[in-house]
Amino acid sequence: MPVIETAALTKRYGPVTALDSLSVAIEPGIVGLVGANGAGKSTLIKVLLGLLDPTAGSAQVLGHDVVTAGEQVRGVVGYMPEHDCLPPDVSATELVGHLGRVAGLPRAAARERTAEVLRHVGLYEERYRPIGGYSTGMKQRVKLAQALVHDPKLLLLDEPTNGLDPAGRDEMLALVSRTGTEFGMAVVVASHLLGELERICEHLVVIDAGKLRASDSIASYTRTQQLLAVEVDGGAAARDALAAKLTDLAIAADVDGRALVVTLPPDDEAGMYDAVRDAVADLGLALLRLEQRRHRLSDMFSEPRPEHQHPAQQGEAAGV
Amino acid sequence: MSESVIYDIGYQRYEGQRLGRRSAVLSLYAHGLRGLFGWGRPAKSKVLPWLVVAIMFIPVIVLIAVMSRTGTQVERYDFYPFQLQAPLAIFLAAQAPELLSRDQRYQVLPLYFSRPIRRSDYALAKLAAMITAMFALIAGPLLVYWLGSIATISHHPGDARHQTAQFALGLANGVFHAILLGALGVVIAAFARRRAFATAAVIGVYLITSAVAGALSGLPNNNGRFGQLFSPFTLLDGLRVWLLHGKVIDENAVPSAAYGIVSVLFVLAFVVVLLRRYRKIAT
Repeated sequence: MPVIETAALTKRYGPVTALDSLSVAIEPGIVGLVGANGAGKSTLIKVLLGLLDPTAGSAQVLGHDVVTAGEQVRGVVGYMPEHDCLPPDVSATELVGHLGRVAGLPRAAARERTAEVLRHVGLYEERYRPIGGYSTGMKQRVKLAQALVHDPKLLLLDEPTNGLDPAGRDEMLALVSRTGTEFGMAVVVASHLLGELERICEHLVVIDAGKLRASDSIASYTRTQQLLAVEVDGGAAARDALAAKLTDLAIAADVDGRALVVTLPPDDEAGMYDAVRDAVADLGLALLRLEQRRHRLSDMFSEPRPEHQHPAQQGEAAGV
Repeated sequence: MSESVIYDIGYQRYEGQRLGRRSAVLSLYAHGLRGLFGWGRPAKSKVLPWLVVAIMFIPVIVLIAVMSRTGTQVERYDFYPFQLQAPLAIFLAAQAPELLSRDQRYQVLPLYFSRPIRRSDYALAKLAAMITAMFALIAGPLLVYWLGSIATISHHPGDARHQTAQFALGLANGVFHAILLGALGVVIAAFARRRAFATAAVIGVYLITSAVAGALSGLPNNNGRFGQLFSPFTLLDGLRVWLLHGKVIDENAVPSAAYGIVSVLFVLAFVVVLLRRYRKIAT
């Protein structure tokens, strides 16, 4: 049974359509929800929680309708918002314990579970200090802890690595991965960073402009996504000469700045490396770079949307 | 003997009891009440509420000391809260934002509204916490005063009964004060994301309505007397006089029942506006 199922789910804010007739079924496991900023990821999560009412269509979470049975949904879901959401003047223990009680835990259980989840996310003595003094990494951990305190069946994480440095990102991803795999909790992680999701998710749901672009297992994406970038010395002339040579060999090559990009066939990657190397050698060019690369996020969409191709986003999305 | 080892048992599933909304709302109420007095908060959050508590208790302690020294009985159940409106107003202006604006400012509301409670539960639990805190500030000194009075009366046994009846009226008066003022403070704080704005707005309502009521009372032929109904000070004083003395202040004043009716209407309006605010508030 899918943990989340939406049918023609639509959400409009005035003239802006954030979710456009989105129909998707999400199975248990760690699922990545990927899309550029503004693609509708946060809106989808908020509709699933009943924080926003859909304009049209319906959605079910763990068999409960999000509009008519919002309280049942929220009783079994843990939510980690994207933005800062922690009051600075209370300790992590005070806040998480209180939110556990609001989620329905008895007093003693809330206290016990608060200690457990804070330890699980890696907060120790500092949990008794006011949150205002915490680093971004510690705050993200508190946000995850409050989503876990009532032991939800489904965890909705909105950009859990927001604002973290590379080491912090690795730790957060490892934590999310452990929570999902070791305890069998269904996890949906929304992110605009494809590279991060690839590392921890089993399944990817791609949305763009509120529409479903793709929903498939990670393996199927990475299989079709291996690319080879090749760069030779000699500027554009040498690059174009190589492109012509490859075309003669029936190898499709796309120009990407100073480099050429060819697709690696999954069944014969080594053969493609050899063919490209030989082509460079035949032309007598100096090989500067030959590296494996993955599709950028925007390449995964069947019709790339120009307004989403900001250089900064692409750079991040391409990070592996 | 086996060696002792510390196991990291890590994350555990929870199979125990889950209580319903009632428990969740009670927890919100208790958390709000704790916060109003700075419990579970850093020391600087405790300064103002406990300063107000001290100010509320000092007069009654002095009064009892004087009564026991001189053996005279002064009946001052109407002293609270009328003579101490100022510290009550300060508490309201400072702490209502602590209760509500803070959650908006730091965007904590999504953490609450993504849990199995209703938005109205949140608003009403916070309102109840504010009313309780205001009532405690009024009732605490009254209780001390009543106990002190009983202890200092040695002769007429009928006096004790009379004192107790007056104490009960004083408490009822305190309830009205707490509800009206609490609802006023909460409804204002619900609209302010920043604490300072909410504090200024609460103080502003007190000052402006009092000034307007005062100015209107200067109109010829007592035409401006209904202005009394729109300032918290004069409205609650009218209510107090009606309740404790069963009479109006003077012949030309507003009919006593009007104070009661207007108070009830104000509270209803505040609650409606508060619930509407939290139904619409963006998360």
